[in-house]
Amino acid sequence: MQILLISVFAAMASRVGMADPFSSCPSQAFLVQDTTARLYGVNLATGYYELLSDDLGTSERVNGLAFNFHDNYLYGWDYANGTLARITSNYEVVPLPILDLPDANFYVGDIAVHQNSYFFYRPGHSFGLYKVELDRPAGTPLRAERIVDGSTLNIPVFDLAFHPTNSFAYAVSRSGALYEIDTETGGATVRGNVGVTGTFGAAYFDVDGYLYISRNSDGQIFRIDLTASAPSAEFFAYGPASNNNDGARCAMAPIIPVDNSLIDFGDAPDSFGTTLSTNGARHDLGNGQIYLGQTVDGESDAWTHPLADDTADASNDDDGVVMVSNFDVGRPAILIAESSAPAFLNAWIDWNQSGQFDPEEKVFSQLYVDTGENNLLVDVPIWAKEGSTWARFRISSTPEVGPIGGVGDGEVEDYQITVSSQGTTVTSYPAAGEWITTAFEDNWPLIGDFDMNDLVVHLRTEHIALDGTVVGLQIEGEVAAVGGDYHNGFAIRLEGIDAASIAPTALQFWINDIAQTTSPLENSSGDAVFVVMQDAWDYVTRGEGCRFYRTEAGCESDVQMSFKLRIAFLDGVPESSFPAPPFDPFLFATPGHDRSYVFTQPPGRGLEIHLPGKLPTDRFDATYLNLADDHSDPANNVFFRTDTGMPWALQIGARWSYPLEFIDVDDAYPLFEPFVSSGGQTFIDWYIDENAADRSIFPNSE
Amino acid sequence: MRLLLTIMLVALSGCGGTSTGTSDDSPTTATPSPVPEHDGAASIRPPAGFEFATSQTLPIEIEVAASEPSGLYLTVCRATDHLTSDYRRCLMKTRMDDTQLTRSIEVPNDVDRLVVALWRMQPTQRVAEHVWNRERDGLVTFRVRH
Repeated sequence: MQILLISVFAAMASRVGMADPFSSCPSQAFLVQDTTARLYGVNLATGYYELLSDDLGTSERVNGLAFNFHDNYLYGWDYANGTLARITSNYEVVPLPILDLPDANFYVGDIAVHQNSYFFYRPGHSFGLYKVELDRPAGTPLRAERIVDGSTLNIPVFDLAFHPTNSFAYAVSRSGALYEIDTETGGATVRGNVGVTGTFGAAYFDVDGYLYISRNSDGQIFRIDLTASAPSAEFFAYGPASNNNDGARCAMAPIIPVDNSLIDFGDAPDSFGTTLSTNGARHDLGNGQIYLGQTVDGESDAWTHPLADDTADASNDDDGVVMVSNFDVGRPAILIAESSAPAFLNAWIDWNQSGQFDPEEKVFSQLYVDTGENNLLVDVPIWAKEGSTWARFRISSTPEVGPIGGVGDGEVEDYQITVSSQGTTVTSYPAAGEWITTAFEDNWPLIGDFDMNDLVVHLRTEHIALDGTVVGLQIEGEVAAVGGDYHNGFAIRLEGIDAASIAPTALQFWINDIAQTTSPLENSSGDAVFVVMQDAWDYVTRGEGCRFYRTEAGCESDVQMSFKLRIAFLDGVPESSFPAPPFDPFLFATPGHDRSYVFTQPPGRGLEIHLPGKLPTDRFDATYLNLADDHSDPANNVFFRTDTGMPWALQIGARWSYPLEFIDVDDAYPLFEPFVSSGGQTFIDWYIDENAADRSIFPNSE
Repeated sequence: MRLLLTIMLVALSGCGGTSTGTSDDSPTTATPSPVPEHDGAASIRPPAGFEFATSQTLPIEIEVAASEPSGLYLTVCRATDHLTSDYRRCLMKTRMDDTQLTRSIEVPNDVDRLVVALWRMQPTQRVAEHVWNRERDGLVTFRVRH
C-alpha cells in the first residue's frame, strides 16, 4: 500500500510543474461553480464575470478555492481525488500528493499571505482546521496538520479569506456573524454581525483590507470595512448567483488596477456615490453591448464634477439621455433615452437637492427600453425644489439596480438639470450648449493690431420667463484668450435693468465651478453691472514658451477660467423690455495698472471698451473720449470707433476661432472686409473656420 | 500733443500694451508688436450705423388647432445632420397653454436650419416637426400650423 501510494504521488508530482503559474497577482477574482467544476473570472468592482474554463480536467467539484500570492497558482480542493489540487494558468487541475489527509472533502479553504500555507476547514469532531505548508523543501512530501478539531472551532461558514497584512482569516456565517480566525491557534472571535444573511460561498480580500463576500442565492457582492468598530456589509456589486460557489483572489491586488479602462463611472459630485471609495455607480464595459447614446468610455475611478472627464476632455460619453422639455414643478417632463440594445433603465433625480438620491427620488425603476430612442415622461413632484440639481440614469441587463454600486454591464450617465416653476419658457442664446464670442482690442484709444484677441470671452445666456415676465437669468462664460500685456477686467451690464431689481440673496456666482462669496453686482442703483473679473491675468497663465494665453501656435492650453452667474429678479422684468442677449459685455482697465502710452495715471475702472452700438456705463470717464484714435460721437450715441468707424470690440455668433497673435482679422478672415463694407449684407458667415486663411486662426470651434 | 500721440501710435500699435502694475506674476514688459504691412481692418469703412451684428432676428408664429388636446410642448432647436431636432442645442422650450404663440429669436448668421417641434405629453410623442431653412424661408415670420 505504501508503495502504491508513493507511486500515485509520484505520478501526481510528475504533473506538477508541467504548466505555468499565472503571470502576476491579478485584480480579477476567481469563482468556481457547479458540480462539474467551471471556473469564472469575476470583476468584484462590477460583478462582471466571464467563463474562463468549463473543463478543468475533473468531472467533479472543486471547492475551497485559493490564490497563492507566493507562487501565483490557484489551489482548490479536488473532490475527485479527495485532495488539494493546484490549478495552472491554463486552467488544469493537478492534484497534489499530501500525507495525513482526513478522509473527507472540504469546501472551506484559503492560502495565507503571511506564509505559504493552505488552510482548510470543516466543522465536526472528526474534522477541524488543517494546514498544509506548500513551500516544503524539494523531495519532502506535503503533509496535512490539524490545528484544531471541528468541535472546538465550530463555525457555520462556507468560505474564508486571509487578510493581506494582519495574518487573520475572516469568514461570514449564514446569519451574518463575522469571524476573525487565528489560524495559528485555531481560535476565532466574532467581530459582530455585518447585517446581511445568506450563504456566502465566496470571500475575498483586496490590498486595502476590504473583505468582500458573495451571496450564493442572488450573486450580490458585499464589501466590509474591517477597520470600522462595528463592521457592516454594504452592497457593492451584482455578481453571478449559484448554488455551489467558491471564490478566491490575490489579496495583494487592488480591486481596480490603475490602468483599467473598462469600467464606466458617473460624474456627479461624490455625495451622490460616484467614486469607488464611496461605492459609486459603475458599470463593466467587458460585455460592451448595452450603453446609452452612441458611446461609452471607461476609467479606473470616477472624475467627479467639476473635474469630470466628460467636461475636461473632448470625449463626453454622457450622450444617451436628452431633456426635451423643462423640468417644471408639478408638471410632466419629456425625455428621450437612446439605448444600444434592449435593456432596463433605472433613474433618479435629486428633487430635494440633498446631494444624494433618496428612494422616493427614483423616477424609473426596471423600465424596459428598446433599441433606439425611447420617449419617456417624468412627473416632477410638487415638492421638488427649484434650481440646479443632478439626475442619474443607469442602463443594464440587470432589471433592478440602486443609485450606487457595481453592475456587470451597461452604463451610468449623470446630468445636471434645472428645476423651474410651473409654465416657464426657457430661451437660450445662441442655443443651449453653444457659445458666442466677444473679442476685444485693448489698446483703446489707440488703434491696435486688430488681431481681436487681447481679451476673448465666450458667452451663452439662458433666461426663464413666466407668463411673459423674465424671472431668472443665467450667464455662462469662459475666458478663451488673453493676447495682450495690459491688465483688463470684464463685466456685463444689463441695459435698462435697475440693480435694485436684482434679488441679492438669490444671486449666485461661480468661477471654475467654485461658488464665490463676493457679490459680482457692482451697482446699487442704475443699470445692473456684474463684474466677472477685475483682472483676467489673475485667472490664466501662459503656456510654457508662450507670451500670451491661447493666442499663439503651440499654446493651445485648455480654457483656464470659466464662470457662471445666476440672477433672479425681485419682481420680474417684462419680456418686452428685457434687453437682448448677450446684453452689454465690456472690458475695463484693471485699477492700479498703467496704460502709460496715453494715460499719465492708471485709468482703472474709468476706461471701458464696449461692443458697437453699446454705451459706456456711468463709471466711464468721459474725458477719455476722443483721445488719440478714438472718434466717438456722444451726441449721436457712437462710442469706441476709429476715424473710419471701426470698433475695438466684436461680437461673433459662434465659438469663434479668433486670429492668431499679430494677425489682422482682415487677413485671417478675407470675407470680413466685404461683410463690413456691405453693412452686413454679404458674407454674413465670414467668421466660420471654413472662411479663414490658412494658419491664421487659433482653433476654437467645436 | 497730437504729434506726440501719433508718434506713439506708429511705435506702439500692437497687441495690447504694457503694464507697470503691482501684480507680481503679471507681465512687466510689453514689446511693441510688428506693425501690419498693410492697412488691414483699420482701413475698412463700415457704413454709418452698422453695428457688426453676426446674428439676426427670426420671428416665429405657432398656431395649434383648437381641437388639439391641451398641453402641447414646443421646442425650437438647432438641427442635426439628419434635419431632426437636436434637443441638446435648443433656443427655446415652452409649454403651449394657448393655441397661438409668437416669439422672436436671435439666430447666428452661420445657422442655416432650425427645427420647431411639437410634443404631446400623454402619450409621450412628437406630433410635428418643422424645419426652418434660412435659404428657403429667410427671416420673414416662420409660421407653423398644426
